[in-house]
Amino acid sequence: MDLFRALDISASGLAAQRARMDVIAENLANSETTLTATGAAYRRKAVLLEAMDGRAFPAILRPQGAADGGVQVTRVMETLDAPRRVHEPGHPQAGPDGFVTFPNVNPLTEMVDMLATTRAYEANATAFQAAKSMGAKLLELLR
Amino acid sequence: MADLRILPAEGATRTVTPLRFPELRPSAENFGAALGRAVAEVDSLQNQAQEVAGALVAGQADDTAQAVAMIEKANISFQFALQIRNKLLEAYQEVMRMPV
Repeated sequence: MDLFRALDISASGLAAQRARMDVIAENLANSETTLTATGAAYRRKAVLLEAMDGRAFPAILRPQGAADGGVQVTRVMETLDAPRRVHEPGHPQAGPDGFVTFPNVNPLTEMVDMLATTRAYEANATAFQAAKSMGAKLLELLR
Repeated sequence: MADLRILPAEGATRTVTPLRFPELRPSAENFGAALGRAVAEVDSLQNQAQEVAGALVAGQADDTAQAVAMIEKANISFQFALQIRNKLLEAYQEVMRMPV
């Protein structure tokens, strides 16, 4: 039904913001991680959001339940900012020069991102609520 | 419909062309079929919502927002179906109340 398109779009927005929140939590949790599976220090991650405008993707190829006109997370990227280098010769991950590579995560940036994500989530939830009450209003016409 | 004849005061007859309405073409499916399809749609939404709600409770839903949307869709469509049913019943009772 045409009423449900707004609901689907808002749901995709909620899902995208939640995915963004996941990545922020991961960044915060790993803000001091010096060792990952690759052997290097952790790198700050960011999500790549893409609009689903119907032209880019045929309906069949889209993930289940994804709405035309919604948003989706296409990729989680590692950012390329320079990592922090701290002189700590006793550290197990210290190089020959005694410097340890720490992640390029700035907790302050993450906190601001987190605020933005929370607000965007709330906005999507409000849009969802509005679409819902519009449906309820239309229903009242039948009574 | 026969053309309407208007007799003016002078006595001369004048024909008035009747209003032409676009012909209502009967749709391919009758009302019963359309109703059946709508009910089937509501039913499928209900089933999907039940599935999703089960997955939510079991902690297996990978997209909670989509699950909530699905449940809400099922709710609204059911309300609509209920209202349509009320209307139909009302019409039926109206007919039954008609004095013969």
